[in-house]
Amino acid sequence: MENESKFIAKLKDKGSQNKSFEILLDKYKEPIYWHIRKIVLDHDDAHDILQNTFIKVFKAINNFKEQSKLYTWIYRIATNESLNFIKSKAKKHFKTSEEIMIAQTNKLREDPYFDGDELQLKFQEAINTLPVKQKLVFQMKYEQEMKFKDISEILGTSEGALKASYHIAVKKIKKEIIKIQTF
Amino acid sequence: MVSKNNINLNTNRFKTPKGYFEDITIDNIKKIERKGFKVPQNYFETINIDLINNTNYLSKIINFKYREFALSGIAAVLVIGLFINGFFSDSNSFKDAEILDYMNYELVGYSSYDYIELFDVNEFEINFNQLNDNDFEYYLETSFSDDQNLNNE
Repeated sequence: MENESKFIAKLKDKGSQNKSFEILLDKYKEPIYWHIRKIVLDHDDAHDILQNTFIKVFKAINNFKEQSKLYTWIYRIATNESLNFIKSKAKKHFKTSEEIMIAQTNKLREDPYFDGDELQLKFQEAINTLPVKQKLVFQMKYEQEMKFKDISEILGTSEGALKASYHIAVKKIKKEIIKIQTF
Repeated sequence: MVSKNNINLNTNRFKTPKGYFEDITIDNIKKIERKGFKVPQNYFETINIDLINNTNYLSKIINFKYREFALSGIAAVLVIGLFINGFFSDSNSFKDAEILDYMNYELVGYSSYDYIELFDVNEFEINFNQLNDNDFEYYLETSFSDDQNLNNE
């Protein structure tokens, strides 16, 4: 992608907006989809959230102050959309977000868009034992191999706090994996 | 005494080896990736600008309809509220002032005989020991019309 500031200017310009948005969509739809999918687990939910994320990006691009990178801004919107989705689903079913995610993990065995083996399922369960923030940090660092600086921009948390969260998350997951692999 | 200003409060003095956090891995264990998640065939090809625009358009329509329904609902509740208030509330509840007005206008002309007819005398227990001179005076003053009635008869 060309110089980011120039590209953002094109996204804000009415004349070039549609074309630029198409480029943006092509570049980010897949990584953003997977980011959302790993949070909400279900394909249909991820599809809805992905669309809402890009609608929000499209609507809010004129208010984007370029204080962060464009990609971290989009990830932040996607993360917030996903978390809000889980919260509203929990509210609708009179449950907590954690309970909703456990139920979602249990549904994976029957999910037509999931064909992971038992180890994958157990790994998913282990990730779900983490609090939301630790889960997000673990996902972004361990799986997506993002830099702490970028994760910090996305989650709005200091790098130090993120490193501590990641350290704890890795320890917990490691413990769970050892348990899984021992049996 | 050591001044607070002389204490090095720099929190950055705790250091970790360079790249320490970057290297935290689930070591000794083969890196597990969350595999197994699939998408429908050609899914990402269906995600394009038209889909986003259509979804945006649809969400606008849904929002408009939702707002319309919400406003109609509020209007209906207000109308029902006013109806209930106007037609049921007032007619069913009497205020103290209304009761007093009724007593003044409707019962003022009643004589003690009328009251006797209204109430069962056997239900009253009169203790004459509790009546004093003031009570008798008050009776004589206020029962003038009754005397008149007796004289007329």
